[in-house]
Amino acid sequence: MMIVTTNEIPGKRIVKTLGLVRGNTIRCRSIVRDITAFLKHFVGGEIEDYTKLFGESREQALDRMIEEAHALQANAIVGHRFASSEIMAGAAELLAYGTAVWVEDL
Amino acid sequence: MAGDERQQQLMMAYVDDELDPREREEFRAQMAADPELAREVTQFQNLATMTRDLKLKEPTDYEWDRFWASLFNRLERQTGWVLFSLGVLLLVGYAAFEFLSADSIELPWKLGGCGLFAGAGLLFLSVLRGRLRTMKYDRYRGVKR
Repeated sequence: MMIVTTNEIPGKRIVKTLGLVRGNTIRCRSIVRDITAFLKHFVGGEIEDYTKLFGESREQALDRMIEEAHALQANAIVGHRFASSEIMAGAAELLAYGTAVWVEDL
Repeated sequence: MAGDERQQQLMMAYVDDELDPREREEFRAQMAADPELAREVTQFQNLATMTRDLKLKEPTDYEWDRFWASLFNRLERQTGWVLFSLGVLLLVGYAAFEFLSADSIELPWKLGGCGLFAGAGLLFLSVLRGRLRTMKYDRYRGVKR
């Protein structure tokens, strides 16, 4: 599955547009990790626990979007974007979306 | 099958030079009669030589620093969490004891308080059980960043 942020894929042509595909998730870490992360505020630096949390959300949202694209029998997703919002503090909500297409070599 | 196993053991012992002279001669005779076995022994001998010649790479100073930093970090954090958890348990236990044994608090308040904490505890257990069940299949736990 080819995923690009552009609307076209150089070297390929879009034969069929199959529609919007998206995948979202909201994940949080445990309160233990939240307390450690809070303590990091005093000393600065990367909050590894939240970096990991964000990475987990990104991968899960991506996988869900890809699953939808597979269900539509697409072989590529164009115009891919991520969007995030905040439902609750300490949780990472991510929405991955794009347009599922069928592409062929030029 | 048992014969194959015996021959494998003999072969390993031959490669590692652990056979007594009589067994060694016997095994050499077998090799002379079976070119396939001789070829296999040569392959194992090559592998054994290669393994012996392998030199482990010494970790760099940077890697050692990272290792010790990570070790101390874990020790500090785990000790910190154990002390913190013990403190919380002690305080909560003491507060519960004081709350339940205080004569100035009427029975409905005590019952309400007990219900509140028992309900919250039960809800937490339910969430925890659900999480432990799904944790085994959570593909994303290994994501580092």
